[in-house]
Amino acid sequence: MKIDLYTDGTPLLLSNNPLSRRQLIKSGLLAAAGLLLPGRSLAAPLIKAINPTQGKAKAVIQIWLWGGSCHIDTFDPKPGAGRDYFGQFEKPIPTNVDGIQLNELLTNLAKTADKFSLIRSMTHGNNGHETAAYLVQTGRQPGDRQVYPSMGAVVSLFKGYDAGYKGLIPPYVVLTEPQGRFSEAGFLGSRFKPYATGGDPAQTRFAVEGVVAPGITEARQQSRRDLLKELNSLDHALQSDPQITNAIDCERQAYDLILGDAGKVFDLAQEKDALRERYGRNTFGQSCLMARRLVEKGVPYITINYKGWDTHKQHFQTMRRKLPELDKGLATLLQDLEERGLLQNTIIWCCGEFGRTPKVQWDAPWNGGRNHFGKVFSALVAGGGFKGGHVLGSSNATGEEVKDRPVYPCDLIGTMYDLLGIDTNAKLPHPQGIEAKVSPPPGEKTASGGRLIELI
Amino acid sequence: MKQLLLLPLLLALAHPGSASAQASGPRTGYVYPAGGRRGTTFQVTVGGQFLDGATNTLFSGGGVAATVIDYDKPLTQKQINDLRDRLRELQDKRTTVTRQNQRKAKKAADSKEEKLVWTPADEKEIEEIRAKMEAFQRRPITAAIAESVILKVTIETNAPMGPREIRISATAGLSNPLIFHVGDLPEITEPPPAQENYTGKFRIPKLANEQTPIKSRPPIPFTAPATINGQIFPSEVDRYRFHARKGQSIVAMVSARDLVPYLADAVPGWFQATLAVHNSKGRELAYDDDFRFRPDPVLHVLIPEDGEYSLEIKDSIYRGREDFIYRLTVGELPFITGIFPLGESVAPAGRSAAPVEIELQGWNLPNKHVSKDPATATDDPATTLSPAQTGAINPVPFARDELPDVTEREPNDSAKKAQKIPWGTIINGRIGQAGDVDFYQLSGEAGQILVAEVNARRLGSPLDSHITVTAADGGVLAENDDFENKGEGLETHHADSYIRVTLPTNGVYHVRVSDSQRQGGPEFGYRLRLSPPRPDFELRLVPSSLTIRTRVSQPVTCYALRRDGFTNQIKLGFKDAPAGYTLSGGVIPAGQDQVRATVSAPPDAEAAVLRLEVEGYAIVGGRAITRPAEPCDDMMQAFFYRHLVPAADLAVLVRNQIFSRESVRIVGDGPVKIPAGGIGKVLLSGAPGGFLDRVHLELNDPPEGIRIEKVGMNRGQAEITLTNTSTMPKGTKGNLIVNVFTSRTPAAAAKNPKAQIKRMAVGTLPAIPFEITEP
Repeated sequence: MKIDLYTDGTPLLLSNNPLSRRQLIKSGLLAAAGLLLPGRSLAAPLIKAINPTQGKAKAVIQIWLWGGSCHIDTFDPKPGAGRDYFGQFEKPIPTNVDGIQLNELLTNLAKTADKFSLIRSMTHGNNGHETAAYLVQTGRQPGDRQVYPSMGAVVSLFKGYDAGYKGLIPPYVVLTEPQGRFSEAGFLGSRFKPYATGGDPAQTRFAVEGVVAPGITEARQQSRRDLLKELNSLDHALQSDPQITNAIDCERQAYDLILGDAGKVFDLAQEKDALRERYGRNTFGQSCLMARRLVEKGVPYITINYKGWDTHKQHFQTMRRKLPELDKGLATLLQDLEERGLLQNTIIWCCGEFGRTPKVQWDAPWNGGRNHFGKVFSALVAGGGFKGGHVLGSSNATGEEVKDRPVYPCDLIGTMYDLLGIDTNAKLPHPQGIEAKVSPPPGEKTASGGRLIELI
Repeated sequence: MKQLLLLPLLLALAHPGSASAQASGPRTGYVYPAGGRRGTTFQVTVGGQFLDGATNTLFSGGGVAATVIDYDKPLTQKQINDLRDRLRELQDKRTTVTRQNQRKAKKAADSKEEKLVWTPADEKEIEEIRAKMEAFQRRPITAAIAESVILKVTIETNAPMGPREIRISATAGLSNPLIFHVGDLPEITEPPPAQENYTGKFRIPKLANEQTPIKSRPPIPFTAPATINGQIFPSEVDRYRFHARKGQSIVAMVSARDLVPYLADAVPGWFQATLAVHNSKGRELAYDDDFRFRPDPVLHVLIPEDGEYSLEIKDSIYRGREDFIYRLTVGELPFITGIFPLGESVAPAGRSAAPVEIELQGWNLPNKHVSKDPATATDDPATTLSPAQTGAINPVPFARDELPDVTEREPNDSAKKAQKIPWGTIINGRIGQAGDVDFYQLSGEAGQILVAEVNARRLGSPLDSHITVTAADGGVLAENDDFENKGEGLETHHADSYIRVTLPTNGVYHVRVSDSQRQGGPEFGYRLRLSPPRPDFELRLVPSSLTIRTRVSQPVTCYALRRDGFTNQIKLGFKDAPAGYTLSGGVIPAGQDQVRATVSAPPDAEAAVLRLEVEGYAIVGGRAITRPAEPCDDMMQAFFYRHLVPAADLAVLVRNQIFSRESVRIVGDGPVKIPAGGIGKVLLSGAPGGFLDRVHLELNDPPEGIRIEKVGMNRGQAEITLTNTSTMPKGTKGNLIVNVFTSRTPAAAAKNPKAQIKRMAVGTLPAIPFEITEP
């Protein structure tokens, strides 16, 4: 009997030997474990198209402003547009780069403007969370019957285990919750989904799902493992079976992560208190610190899924709470990476799926709210080959139109692939064998303003 | 002016807006119960925001009055902190008293310690604080409906049946209207969860928190016929039990979207009620989630055997909130599902016409036909058949038109069998069964313009029309399925068709009518107009509630719905308004679809509430015509779509709050000329030195590129300098609206440089007409 268990086009287990029902159940469990574990021995080799000599960047930290942040209340202030546009933020502040202004609450970022560049002419025109999140993170137009993988999944494909990545921490990590409304792996399948840590790094103990068991000490964890090992008669009985050997190997790796040194990356208590304070003692700030630690461990793609930017109602109250958090966490991350010599090899990109309506909705039920706005938004990029201290493109006086140099999501993502040394013409493995490339080839209906050569 | 009502009003100079300076008038989101029975007095809750100082209510129509008995606003974090401190103080006191009492029992009370006494008032206070803290939500789910005004409503015994509008007058002004029904059946009001322990002071329902699903109660028994009032909270299912006999023909009709037509901050953008009937064994006998194209369900059940039955109502996706309110009318009640014809022609002047015979379809109807007196040109333009005319519980739309009408003659299912129609006729037809098509024929000449317009969905017909105009050889000249009609604020599917086509040659033409969804039946009636263009217009005025302070103005927007290619200018004005009421900038320029104008009261007007009527005047084909501007509110559906929802009245609250010695006026008659790329100047009168020290002027939603460069003094009066960097072409006309703000710095500001200056919106200047000229 031959049993092929496919989850995503990749054969998980292949055997010419008959399997018992018990073995089958165990195989299923292993497949589930494979979501977290590297699965080097389980997956067939995938096509590689990477030229490490070309890429300056080795890792990416994506700061995803979930829900869509307002461009004119962050990176593209419009003090002259009138109160119906700038709302409560009339006084943008200068930065350490002449001519660049930021929202008045971004005081720390203002001191580090030489380390990042701003794109003020991002555009795609799509106002739906799901479709815009797909567009910004895949560079593809939704609705062509294919679900393309996000940039994180593509980096995981070309810089992960099949490209020689050896880490026990999966190559694509999201802090702390998956985005929802969005399939990160697309047709690449669940093996390329991000590993979502769960938990909260701002808590005393960062309870990383599957790694740090809440409420259980390491000693107890160890004794449980020993007991399980003793009781696991299947492992004892079938020690020569290659599948069982595989399973034992996976289990050992999992426990290395839980109880060994690899999992210690999640222990933020190893950082100095002063630095933790600099990042901000909140989920976002500590996620930024966590992201730096993961970069140090060689994890190639980390997404910080920063929720709370979908501010239809009482937008300004929310901004007064969130902007200082963003400011502290992001500015410290840039400084910390630079101080450790990591910034030149690490791309930071920060934006949401769209901007927000420049014209404030003052009336109830919004009470000073802003809606979705895909026509214009801003992105911040830094490190990994991006220049600092530049502004690319601009919006008009009210932030409602792109004034010059439109930048489409595929332009930004394509530039980052270039910096990572990933060939945008490389083929992606498609479960139905349909030809698919890393970036949409020229001539397709994807709008493009060209690579961001001004910033690299 | 229909009516003038004087109300005692609280006077305050201006309503302090948010820190960002926008004035927020009172906004109401729901009234519960949303109606009552004639001859009764009962308690009603109105939920909304900025309702502080609610003193009065304004009902449209007659026979309903209310008094405000309570107002509740969610506590702030500071208030809750103060309560916590006070609770601690009281708890300490109680501990001390207990200790003193214990000591007293042991030895004589000769201690020098101050004697404390624990009183019933202390006990009551502690209970009240605990209740408040328990009810406190850190962040109310929806601030826009978090405040409550409790009313005592009385409906007179002889009050006319039907819908009313209720508005609340509060410190911040006059609220938007909400629908409130006057009925004649016994009423049952489901006790909302928060009011089960109502102690006189209304509390925000804790169960309104979306995170806390509530347990549905057992069915509430009632005797049909009755109208049940309910409110749906998250995950709640309301059930009602009644006894019915075999053979009874029960109708159950829900009003939900009918009461709150659009929710701006929810998807779907209204409370999508579902209704089901179950027998005593729990078997579902009938279910409905909308009645044809109307979102509110209506059910008809023939009772199979004597016994207990239950009605179940919920939101289709189990959402819920304070504003998910409904009225459910149940009983062996007459309900119209369709009529034919859908309208009538106005009898020619001076000629008597025969009564109009109308066929009725529906349930429990006492008559299958009603006879209606023919309409005359001087009739009230209301276009509905009322329950009084039909004997049914539901009013139905009924069109009235000046063109003569004819009735469809079957068979007319092909071009060969087409019914011949003279130009300038309205056909009363119907798609009698699924797949039916109707053909009409008329002769035309080259260059003639033919308009074919279906009026069906707008008249309550389920028809989703599709029309085609073909030449004699069968070649299609034009076809149309849906035609957007922005004037139909409650329609979300603009199903009626419209074609305007120039005929290429002399000859015979056919117009084909069918249902896009290939359905049909006795209720699928339509009125099809075949005529040359009849240029005309309708007007909509937004908003339907205005609060005007004397000596400043308030902006309104008037939309023109131009019909059959009408492009001329439309002048706006009040109809029969009291002296001194002014509409400034009231001209919709030729070819444009809207204008923003301003309304002002006489400078020394007394505080009052009144209803004003605005009308538009235009020359159409050399003939002067006047059309009323229907008051509307601009409502948003599901974060995105906007609709102009009609209201019964343009209600105006006037406040004699003197902020300026005289009314500010715009000097000069004509529009301000603003050259492309240049500047324009507006001189004000009544704005002498010192005026600019007290106020700040800002453009309100100006055309892109028009800005205020500066406000200075000229000849002792304020002068506004405007710049124009827009791309508007030469000849563009419109109005500029200028907001007037006063500002004050909070006392704490002197010590705290970050303290924000409080700005208060007072009103606007009169509309400033402008025209873009050559550079």
